[in-house]
Amino acid sequence: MIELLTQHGEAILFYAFALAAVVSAVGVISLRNPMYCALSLLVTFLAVAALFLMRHAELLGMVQLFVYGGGIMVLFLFVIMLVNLHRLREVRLFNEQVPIALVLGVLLVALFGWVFLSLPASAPGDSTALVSLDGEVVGNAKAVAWVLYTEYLLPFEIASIFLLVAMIGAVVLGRRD
Amino acid sequence: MFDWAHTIPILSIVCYLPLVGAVAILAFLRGSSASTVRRFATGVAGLDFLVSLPLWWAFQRDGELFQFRESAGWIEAIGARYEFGVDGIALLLVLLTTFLGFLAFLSSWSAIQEREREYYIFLLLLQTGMLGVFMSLDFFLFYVFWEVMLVPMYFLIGIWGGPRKLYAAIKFFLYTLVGSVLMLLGILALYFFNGDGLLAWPGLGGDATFSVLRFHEIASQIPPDLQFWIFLAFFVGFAIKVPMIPFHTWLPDAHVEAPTAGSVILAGVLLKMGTYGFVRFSLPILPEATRELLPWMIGLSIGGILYGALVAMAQKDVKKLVAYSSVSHLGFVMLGIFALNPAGLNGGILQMINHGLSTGALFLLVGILYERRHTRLISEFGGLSKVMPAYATVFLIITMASIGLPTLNGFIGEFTILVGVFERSWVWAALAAFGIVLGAAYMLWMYQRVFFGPVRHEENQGLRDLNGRELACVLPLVVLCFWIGLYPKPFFEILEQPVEYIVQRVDPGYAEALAAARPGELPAVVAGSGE
Amino acid sequence: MPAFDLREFLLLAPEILLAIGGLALLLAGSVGRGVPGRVAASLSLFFLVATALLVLTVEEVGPEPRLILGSSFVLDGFARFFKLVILAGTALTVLISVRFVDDGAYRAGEYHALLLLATTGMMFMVGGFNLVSIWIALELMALSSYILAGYFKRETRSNEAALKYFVLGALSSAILLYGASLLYGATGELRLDLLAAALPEAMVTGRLLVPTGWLMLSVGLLFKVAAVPFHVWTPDVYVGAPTPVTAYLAAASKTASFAILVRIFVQGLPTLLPDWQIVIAAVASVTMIWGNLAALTQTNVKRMLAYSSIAHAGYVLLGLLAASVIGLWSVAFYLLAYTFITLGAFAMVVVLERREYAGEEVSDYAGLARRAPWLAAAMLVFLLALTGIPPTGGFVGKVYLFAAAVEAGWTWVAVIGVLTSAISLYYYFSIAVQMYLKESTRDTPEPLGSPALTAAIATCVVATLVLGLFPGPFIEFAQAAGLPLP
Repeated sequence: MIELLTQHGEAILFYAFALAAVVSAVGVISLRNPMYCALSLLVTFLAVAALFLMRHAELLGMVQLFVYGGGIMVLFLFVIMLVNLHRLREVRLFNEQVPIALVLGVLLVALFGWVFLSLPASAPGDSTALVSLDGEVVGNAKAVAWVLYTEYLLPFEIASIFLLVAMIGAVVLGRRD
Repeated sequence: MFDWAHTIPILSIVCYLPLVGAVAILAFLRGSSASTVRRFATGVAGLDFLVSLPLWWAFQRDGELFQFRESAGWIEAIGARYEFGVDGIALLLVLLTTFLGFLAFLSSWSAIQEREREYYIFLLLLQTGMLGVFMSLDFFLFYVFWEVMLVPMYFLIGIWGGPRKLYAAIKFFLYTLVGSVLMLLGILALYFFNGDGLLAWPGLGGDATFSVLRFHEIASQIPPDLQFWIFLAFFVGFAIKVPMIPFHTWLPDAHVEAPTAGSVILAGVLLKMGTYGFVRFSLPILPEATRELLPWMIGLSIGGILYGALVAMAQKDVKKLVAYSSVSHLGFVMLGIFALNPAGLNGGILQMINHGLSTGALFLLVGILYERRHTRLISEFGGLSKVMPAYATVFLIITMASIGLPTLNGFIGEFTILVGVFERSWVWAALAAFGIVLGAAYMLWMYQRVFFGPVRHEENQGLRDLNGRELACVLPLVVLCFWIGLYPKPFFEILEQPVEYIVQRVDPGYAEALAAARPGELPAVVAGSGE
Repeated sequence: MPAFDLREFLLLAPEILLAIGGLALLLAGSVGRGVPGRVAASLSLFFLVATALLVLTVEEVGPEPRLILGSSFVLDGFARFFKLVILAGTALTVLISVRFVDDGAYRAGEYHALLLLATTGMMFMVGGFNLVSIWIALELMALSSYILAGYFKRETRSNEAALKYFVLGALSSAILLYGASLLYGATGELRLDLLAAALPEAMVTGRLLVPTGWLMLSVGLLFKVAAVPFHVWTPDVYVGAPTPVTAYLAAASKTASFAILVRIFVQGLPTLLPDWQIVIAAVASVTMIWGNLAALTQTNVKRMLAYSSIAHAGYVLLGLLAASVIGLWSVAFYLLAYTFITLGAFAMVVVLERREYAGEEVSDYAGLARRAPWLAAAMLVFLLALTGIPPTGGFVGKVYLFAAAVEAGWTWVAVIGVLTSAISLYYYFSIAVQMYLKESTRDTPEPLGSPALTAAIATCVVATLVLGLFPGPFIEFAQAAGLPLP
């Protein structure tokens, strides 16, 4: 037992977090109390953050934790508390397309299972956590920053316009006039 | 002497004059009265006929195959060019088009009483489209005219047609469009074969071109299986237009619902575009496939002759009867063409002209009757020869022309076709001859019921006879029917060279054998049949 | 690390100018009561024209494509062509929007700002050379489109359209991104050319990862171009969205989506050519068949045009299917022609449309030839072009799409194409029947023109006819937009 844990500890942790992420994601769309939904979403975010950390993507993990698990979650909870969403209890969550959706969903899961099984087995921990830039070994944050502000500078800027558009959209569609 | 035939773009002028007229009506005659528009449009059509008339004399019978050539770059990127030119066959059809077109305008004066401006615009556009089809020597250009022409015809049937006009118009458009898009695929296959090849067939590596003459040249290099597919594609396009059975079902609807001028042009010119397509493209470009599929073509032609005649016999409506007789007559034309020998082709092509004249005249005459009585049912008439003697006389002459009485044009065409067909097989000739008998039967029976006997209906007592304008419409047709019937030599002369060209391409063996066995006799055979 | 030159930003001057234009309109709109519709439209037009001129001057394209900004973008004839087509489409959209936005009393500044920003996204899309940059640009376009679709927020149908579009669009974007990430997982590359180079090996080591990845990528892209079976969002969104926005979605948005579809397939997945050809052949066939059949029964013009735009996506796929020189330029040429034709047709819908979505039925066109002969003639030209009848640009475009399919040996798909396009005549001409063959009644809406609308329609008619009669220069222009083929 101990041996199993030491040998496959990382794999076991991975599956545990992955399962948590999936189960809680299902919870987000199937629970009726909006508060529970939000909390499920939080669990998903946390589980994903843990997965990032396990892949030595510390920066991403932290960003996930702060931005999604922190900021965005809090906003969600505020909205849920301020807006009366109790009617959701009476609304049907899924419509009549459930059977066909189920069939397609199962097929999709089967497809991914197949893909997964076809992949060559590789130990999850064999990649290096360290990134090298011009031969110099640097940390995670520096590496991300380097790529983000050179190769992906323009996409990064486009993302800022994207967020601006999202904001305009919220204002334009939400404003009473 | 001023060589106008090679300096003036005479074909373009003939082709676009109606278009210019249509634009002029649209732009300058906005507030004018209907009668001004009517006179102007008819004037344009008449002028167009006059302009096209000199072609008959300027065309050198023994000169180049295609004359009055015009050539200019158009879409360089894909090798499509602006190529105009006519051989004897196209020349006859161009003249037929301008001539019948003019008569169609003239006949519309009293028949069309609403939305006249639009009517004449569409009619003029139709003229341009049809003329372009006969003049194009570039396949792309040809196709553009071929399709453009559908639109005005659609509106002519749809707006000024009979009770079921909407149905008839869309049926006409859909049928012909389906046929032509498949033909387009065939054209594209030829285009690629001439270029870099397609599918499993390596191409000839030639420059990208849609030139019809180039396709004629490479005909012998097209592999038989490719020819087969292209032939099928062309066949659908042309056979729907002709129409051959079993693609004929649009025709009676379109004919019955179309206004008189529409029917005249439909029967007189439009249907010829299908047979012209076979003569110009299928035969010379796809000789092997033509020979391979000959039994089918012959079978469908003879089937058309007999079927059309039998159905015509059962019709209660004069116009519908004439429409079905077209199916029968076009079957004759196809039979002649697919005899693949000079006599058959000569006859087939001449019969195209004949059918245009006599059926055009029949539709005009039926239209005149309809304007007076607003019915075309045979049972509504009887004894008209007493009330309208001139009308009855003209109708009789045209009926005789249609059933092939000697001294009239129908006889020359049918006889020459039979000569050609007989050369191939006496069985076919016998079946076709039976078709002639049937044709005589339904036409004469119809004539008898409409014109002879007592006047059974009170309304028919007071029917006016032909007036001057109507007489002016039909008399030229009658004259032409007699001319071709009595002295067809000029027509055969002008057809001699192109027909020989086609026979050489579609059946080289035949042409050689003929030249070897009976040197110099070929024109005599052809011309002699009429004398 | 790749050399990185900030001066390369200068080469993006057109996109940057357009983005600045959008932001400027936004600012102007936030002052006081906002800018009047005409002013906003004129400003957008100014920015669009200036951008187009910049594209023509700054982005001089050599024979070799030029990768810029760490290879996340590319300057080539392909990008340049599509940028100009998209700008033209947007300019026409601006023209047909003027009266519409005024009538509804919606804020014009934000509307035009969103249009310009969406167009910026499209320009980045067609110039993207990296799955990430393409995706983020696509999202910029998509998000702006969602908002524009719901811009008439007092109308329920517009809300419905926006919501449907948003939910399904986000789902498809997610699928697209997932597919891209699987490909990245298999190859470790996001740049299209490197991805193409790494794929053969990855197909061995990554096994099913590669097929799953590109299939999901395709699903996402085919959703964006509204190909069957990923089209279900189209009719509702097209009907619900404000008509100028619908036109914009059907023309510019579709063009940009096709551009990236072609670029990703041809430049990113050339090794999978035989595989994706089968998928594209199947999708193109069902798209042409279903789009046309479903359109047959429609009586609402906007819904009919929505199905027609689905069908046209099928035709364009023929060019991609051929994956040949002719195929690629015929896609480019067709999208150019289609932009003018579609915008013209939708401009005609705007002419007859009233508030509360009146004037959208086919029967509302009754007797138009009598009341407004020129407008009817213009609509007739668009209908002929949509059917593919000469002498219109739609004809030349279709001929060459079919030609490409025939040449490449996909004759059966071409046969489906020609037959369905003949069938399409039936529903397109149901409008012509109303215009020319029926009489108007008292309830028939009067056509309401405006100078801007007239200008837009006139431009579209002229363009459609010129593309049909003298397509030579435009074909050469489209030929310059070719991509290197595998």
